[in-house]
Amino acid sequence: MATEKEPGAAERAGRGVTGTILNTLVFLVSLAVLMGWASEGIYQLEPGESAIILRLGAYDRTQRIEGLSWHFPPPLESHEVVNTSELRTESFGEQPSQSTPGIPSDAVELEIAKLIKRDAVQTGDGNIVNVAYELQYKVGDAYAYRFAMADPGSILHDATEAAMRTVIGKKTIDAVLSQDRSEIEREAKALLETMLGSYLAEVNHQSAFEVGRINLEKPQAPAAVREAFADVVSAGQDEKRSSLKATGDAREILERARSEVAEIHQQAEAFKRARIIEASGEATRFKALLVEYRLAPEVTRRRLYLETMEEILPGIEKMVVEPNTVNMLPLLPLGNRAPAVGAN
Amino acid sequence: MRLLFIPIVLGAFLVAILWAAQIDMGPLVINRADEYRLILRFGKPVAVLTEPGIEDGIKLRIPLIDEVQVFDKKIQYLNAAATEIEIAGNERLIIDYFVLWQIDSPLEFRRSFPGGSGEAQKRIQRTVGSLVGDAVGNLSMAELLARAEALDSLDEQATHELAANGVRVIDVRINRTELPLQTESATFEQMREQRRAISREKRAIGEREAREIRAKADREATEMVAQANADSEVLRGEGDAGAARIYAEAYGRDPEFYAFVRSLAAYRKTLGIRTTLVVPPDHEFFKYLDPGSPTLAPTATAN
Repeated sequence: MATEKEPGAAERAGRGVTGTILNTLVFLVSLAVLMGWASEGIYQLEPGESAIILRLGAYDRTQRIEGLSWHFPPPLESHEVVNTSELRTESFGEQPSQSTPGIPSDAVELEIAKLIKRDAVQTGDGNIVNVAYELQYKVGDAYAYRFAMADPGSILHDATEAAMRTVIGKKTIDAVLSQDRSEIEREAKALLETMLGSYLAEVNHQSAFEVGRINLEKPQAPAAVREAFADVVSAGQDEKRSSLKATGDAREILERARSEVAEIHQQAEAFKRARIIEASGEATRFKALLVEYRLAPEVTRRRLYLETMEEILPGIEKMVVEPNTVNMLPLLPLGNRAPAVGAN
Repeated sequence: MRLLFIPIVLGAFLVAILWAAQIDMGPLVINRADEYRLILRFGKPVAVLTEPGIEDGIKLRIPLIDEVQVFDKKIQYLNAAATEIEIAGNERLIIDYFVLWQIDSPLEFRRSFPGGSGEAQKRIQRTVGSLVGDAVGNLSMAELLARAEALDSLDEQATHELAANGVRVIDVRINRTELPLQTESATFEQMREQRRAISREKRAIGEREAREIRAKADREATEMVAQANADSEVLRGEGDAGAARIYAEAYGRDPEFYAFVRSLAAYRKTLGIRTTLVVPPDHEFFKYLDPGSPTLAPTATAN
């Protein structure tokens, strides 16, 4: 303590040179103390920094003017500088983090601590998924950041981890792997903000952090089972492919059927036309014959008959039999001969 | 200089006192927003400063006799070591949690933990650890992973147990859960099996769809051909009908003559080489074969 300036020094000052020198010394030391003290109130702010000013230990104001400023020297007033504009990031799930998981007290706990894999997260259905994400944040309330929490960085780190893992712990692995990542990000952010807010409810201050966003990288199945997951994808492609192939087959079948239909139709049409044309031809021929017949019916008739017979009879085996010789009938080998036609 | 001498020396003296207070020396005790200050006179607490400011935060003390002890008022972060815990269904799980706590009453805190913060942390970790063990022991894996509500009241329970020690627990939260190695490989096997089931199902679905598509096409094709056949019958019928109409119109002019001509045509067609015709000698055809026949008479003409 600088208490070597006695109040009695004023009287002795006038007595001698020694006194004068002593007086001067005391005066200069006192002046130096005062000026030194006053200079303690000078502080400097870089861009983006805020200074929290405490007056007699209690929060008084937050100063944001860059450059040199002065406040009453401590302990009347004191300051703490916090960078409130810097966008900070923290990554999760890539490398084993340097933050020690607790204080391992024995070998078993040390072993467990090693087991903790930073990016393996359990999903709600008991499966494991690898997740990496990044938190972007700024200091929110500088006072809360500096004066309400002893280790704000660790608190934020673990709270973020807890929030993300809680959100994933409520979902199935399929939801995590296929769902919109932004939904997980949103849910985790909301949960994190609720948690951080609840810590400072008593202090009556806003959150120490302003959570920007949580960026979730695409979650991956663990390496040990990645092959099975890839097979699901290729099974999906197989599914699509076999139904596409069937669609192709179906088109072919239908096209073939259509050609058969066309063929049947054309054949039927051809039959119809042919029938009618044939009929017309025959009818015309008959009509022509009829004209001739009408001119000389008897002669025409006989001529037609004889012509026909002439044509038929050469190929036919003929038997001329008296009608009353009935008894010879059994001798006829009728059974051996094909169609016997009786003509009367 | 003479005029300034006394105020300046006095001022320096006051500043010295204030400055001393800054490092907890001298007759003044000034508390800070994030701290508690306890004034002990020969070990007896004479004052507890919990708030900052001119009314509550400043006290006088007797230098060298009154001792000032400072305690942190900030929220403290305690990362408990990860531990393997048995949960419901005899499953084992490694859980890692953290505790946020704060000194609530510096006097009680000082009484309970004369050794300071390290001692307090050990005590808090033990207390919270057993509470977490109890709470987690009754939870199923799914409940634990979803951070069931049973875990929300851990901070209150811990605060209740530690209140007498001047400690308030703000939050107890499980941040990580991990499977022990032996369980992990079983889980991987399970995951693989699950995926295989999905793959097989997908492929079977593909096959079913393919069969459906083909069968549907076959059905449509059969229907189309059947319909075409039916249509063709109609057309053929039309052809027959048209032909019949034409024939009827033509032959209707002289049905008897038609019967005659048609019969002749039929004979021509049906009577072939292997036909035996039994003909009586007096048949029309042989009319001119027997010269004695009365039909030879030139006067008579066959019918």
